[in-house]
Amino acid sequence: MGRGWQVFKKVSMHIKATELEKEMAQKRSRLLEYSNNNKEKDTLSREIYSIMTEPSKATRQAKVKKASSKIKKHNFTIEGAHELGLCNNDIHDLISSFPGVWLSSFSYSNNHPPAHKTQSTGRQSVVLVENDNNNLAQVSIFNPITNSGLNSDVLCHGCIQAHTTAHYPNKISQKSVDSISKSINSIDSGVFHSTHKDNINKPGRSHLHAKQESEAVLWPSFIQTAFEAPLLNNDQDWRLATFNALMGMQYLTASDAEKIIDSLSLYFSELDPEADMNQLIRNYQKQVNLLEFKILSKHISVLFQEMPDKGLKNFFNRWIKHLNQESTSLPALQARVRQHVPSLRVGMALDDAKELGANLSVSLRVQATDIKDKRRVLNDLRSSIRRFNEIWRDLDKKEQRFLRPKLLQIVHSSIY
Amino acid sequence: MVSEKNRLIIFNTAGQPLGEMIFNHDLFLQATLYPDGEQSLGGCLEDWQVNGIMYFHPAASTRTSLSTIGECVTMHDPAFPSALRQWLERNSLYSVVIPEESWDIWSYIEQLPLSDSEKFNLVMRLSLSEKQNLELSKKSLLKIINELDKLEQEPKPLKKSKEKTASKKQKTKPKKMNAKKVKVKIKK
Repeated sequence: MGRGWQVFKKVSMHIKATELEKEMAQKRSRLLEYSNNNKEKDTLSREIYSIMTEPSKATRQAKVKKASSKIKKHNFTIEGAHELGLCNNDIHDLISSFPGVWLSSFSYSNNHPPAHKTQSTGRQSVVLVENDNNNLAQVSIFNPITNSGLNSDVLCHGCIQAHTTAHYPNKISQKSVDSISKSINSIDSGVFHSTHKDNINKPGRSHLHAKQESEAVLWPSFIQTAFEAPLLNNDQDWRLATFNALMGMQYLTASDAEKIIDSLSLYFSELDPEADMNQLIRNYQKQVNLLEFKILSKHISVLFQEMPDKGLKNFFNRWIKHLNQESTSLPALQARVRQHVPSLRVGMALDDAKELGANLSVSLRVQATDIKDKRRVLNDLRSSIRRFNEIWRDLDKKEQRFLRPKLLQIVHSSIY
Repeated sequence: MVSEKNRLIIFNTAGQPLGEMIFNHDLFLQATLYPDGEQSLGGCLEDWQVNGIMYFHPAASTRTSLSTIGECVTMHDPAFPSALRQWLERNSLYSVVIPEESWDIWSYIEQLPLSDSEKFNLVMRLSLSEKQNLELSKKSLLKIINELDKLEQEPKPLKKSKEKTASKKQKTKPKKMNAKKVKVKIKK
């Protein structure tokens, strides 16, 4: 008895594919026929019929070009937005979230109230802003429901020309946008490694994609830095304050920081050549409580005047003066820690000095607080100093001589 | 609070579905990626779980201008749906939101003999209609699908084929290439 082997006949995949296509075509024509017959009585059939019989891409493109609006010189108006049910906030959200992050500051007014407001309609629209021959920004809005095939053609990448309201009669010229873009791109992307390299290392990310994403995130953060950089006094220029804030970035050089400042200056001056940026920024910081409540070294130096020991008072005054000069030339104190303490009072003084050191470092690291926080921090520091003074007065001269270098060590190390 | 679950389906510009996310009001519940979406969305989803997603919103206004601030929000943040919509627009992707009671509409539409962009177009239009219209649309979809099934079941005229089929396996219809879905659950 032999084994019977089943004979398999190869079925040509080409024939199978053709059969599937035929089946699909049959079903499609059946669907078209059904929807045509029922479009009068059934909404779904009407929708299916209109989708299946939509005009070609070229026809749609021509239709949409006609519908795009022109911007008037001093008024950023989009006409026809009401037909899509878009309100001002929808437009602002759409444009603000666009990859062209140069548009982070603008105002928009829509003179036509929306015919019917549907939040989801607004969200699904696509906005294109492009220059026309007269150098005016032209804005077009497309609804993907009726123009689905177009979307990949009309989506805007890169910079968007900002055309703002009557308060800002000028717009940012393409030349300036190119200059800013070139300047920012000339900075080594490794400088912003925390936003860039981490993005690259993610699976499925390309270098270009990660870089573009980093750039999209960086520019608004620079503008935010400019508006929130702490101002040391009423006369300090916003550029210097922003420079100091940017230099807090570990890998950013002074020349790179200057490039960013120059780009920001150009951007702000193009938006409004007559704006007083120092005044604007101060007003903004007052509004969000960034100004006035910062603890400065002068607040702390007043507290140290209460110290009875002249030597310690002089030490703290020299140290605060050193901080104001931003010098880094103070020699590090030798750390010779002696385990043995001669008396309980010295031990207590040491503990209290450590607490004083901790409070000092907190008060100086506080950058932006409200008035309550400032008062709380200064009160804590005042209490520590008062306690320390009382303990210090109780020590005899020998104990004070023993303690002095250790105190200096504690306070110095708490700052650095 | 009364539960209001919505299903957000993400599409690319060609109308291909890439994945879906389920929200209860503004609270993110779970994400499911389709094979086409694994490559484009998989990395981003992991990134958002770890680092959060950038969300731009208008900041305090200065004299006459409104500035925008960007901040990272987690997937559990109520602002995540808005941040996600912004990200989708920035990356040329679209989304359609379907309420819980109409979730099967999309699975019915997937069975229709339409191209990807046509299916996307249809689900988009239906998602914008009123709730009662959605119910009617569901019934109509079922009718259409039954009609199309009848077409399949109609006896086909016998074709003379030179090749003899010898195996039962060759007579069976090819299996539908259903998308293999990958579920991504976010641990709370």
